[in-house]
Amino acid sequence: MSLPKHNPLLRVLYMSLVLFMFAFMMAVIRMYWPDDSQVSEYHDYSAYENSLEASQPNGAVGIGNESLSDAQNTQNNKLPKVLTKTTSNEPELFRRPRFTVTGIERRLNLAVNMQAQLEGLWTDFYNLDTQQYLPGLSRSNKVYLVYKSYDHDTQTIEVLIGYQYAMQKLSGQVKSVELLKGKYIKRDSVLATWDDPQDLALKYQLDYEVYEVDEYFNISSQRAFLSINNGAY
Amino acid sequence: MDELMYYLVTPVNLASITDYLEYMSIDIYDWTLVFALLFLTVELTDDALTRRFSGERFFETLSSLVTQIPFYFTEVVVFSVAVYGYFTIYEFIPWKMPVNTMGFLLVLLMADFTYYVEHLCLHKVRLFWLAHSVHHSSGVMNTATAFRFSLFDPVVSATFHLPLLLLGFHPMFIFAAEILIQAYQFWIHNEMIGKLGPLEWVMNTPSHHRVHHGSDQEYIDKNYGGILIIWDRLFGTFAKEDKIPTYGLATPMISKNPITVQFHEFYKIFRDIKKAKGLGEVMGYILRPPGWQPEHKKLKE
Repeated sequence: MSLPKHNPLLRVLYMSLVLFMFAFMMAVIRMYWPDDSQVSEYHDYSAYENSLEASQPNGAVGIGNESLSDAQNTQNNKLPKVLTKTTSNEPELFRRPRFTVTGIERRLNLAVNMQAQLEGLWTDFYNLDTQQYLPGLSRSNKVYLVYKSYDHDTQTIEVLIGYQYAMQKLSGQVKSVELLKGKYIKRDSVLATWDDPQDLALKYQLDYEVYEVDEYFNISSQRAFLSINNGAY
Repeated sequence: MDELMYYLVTPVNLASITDYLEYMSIDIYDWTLVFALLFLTVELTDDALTRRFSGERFFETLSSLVTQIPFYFTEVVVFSVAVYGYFTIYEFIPWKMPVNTMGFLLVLLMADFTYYVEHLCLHKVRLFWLAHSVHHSSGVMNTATAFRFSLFDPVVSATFHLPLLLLGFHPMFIFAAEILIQAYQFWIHNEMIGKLGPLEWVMNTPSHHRVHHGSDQEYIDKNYGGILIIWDRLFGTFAKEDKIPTYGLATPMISKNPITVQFHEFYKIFRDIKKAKGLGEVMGYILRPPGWQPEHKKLKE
């Protein structure tokens, strides 16, 4: 059995294109696979806060600590006080996609007790009636804290806490922010990294933390993504 | 390569495997359209250089591409209804299959078998052949033939995959599997690639699919597989390519008119039903294989 006559070069080109197509499609399948890098364990920032001056930013603390046992709380207090360097062996730079976070927003004062302010923000978000303000949202175990609009003069920063969710119409106290795609550096805490950036060329514009939580907002893990110059686009 | 891929693909922050399958499968299908254009360009250039190019072949190719227009209109409507319907039904299914990678691979295999059954019915039931005959009506076998669809094709597909939903599989698994099975098949519509050795034992290949499009007696109603050819081998519907097939319908349909292309079989079945004596014969013309005739007509002939 022989095929109709073909130009040999075009036939080779065609077969090469088919092979390239399969390789390309495999790459597409891989590209879409979610970033499954290991996340750092949750850190209790109360120990961290005590080592800094009051004017310096502190890390976030989740609510629901009352559900932890005394043994677990004791263990958390034994964690290293200052956590500005990543302790993971994974590559630092990550490509993050563009997506929208919707939730509630507040301007927080960096010069006042940040931990208490953040706890208040978490509590308000926990109590938010998602059916009323975020209709159509599927239950998610990831909560985002987005840090933006830092004002040096007043030492304040806007913090939005929410879920990954895009809404056409926002109502009441609900706000949205679109996070840019690009290259981000992974750390444990946005504010801690802003406070001690070391050699990083941070943008200080729109950085965020991702928390994995259960239904009671007990935090099992957190990680921070900070955009670097010539990274986001 | 990673940098290039990142520019070409738009990963999103995926929360679950169903999100992953949704974005990935649709992106794969979109890219098949890009590669299809490249393949078709090479084929047409090859036709020109080997002096196979003719007005007939060119307009047949164009006629195949034009069928995409009505097809997309009905696809949008039917797919929207199917998505809403499937997710609604899924809510009421008390037993749910696991939503994980292994679950999806199982669905992919079962969807490929479902496609085999659906494809067999498309050939063996005249009601379904009304739609599927459009795809087989081309006398040319190139990439454009892969996109030669009836505007009724989406309806058939949505119906045949309902059993998978009733088994408790997640609707997104079923949609993604069907998209991937359809996307796989576009590259097997050509005469540029010969036999592929051991791949021919398991996969559906250009050689197997040329047989499927053949109207020669030994090739009629053979090789119904989607991604895998194993179902044809298992159920006795396999035929090997021994000679280049004669493409098109047993009774050739050479019109390039887009209306005739879509509805030529409708005219034929309507003509047969008009002559039918009784409900039995009417149902026979509708539900039996194409070419079926009542006994008294066979005796006359």
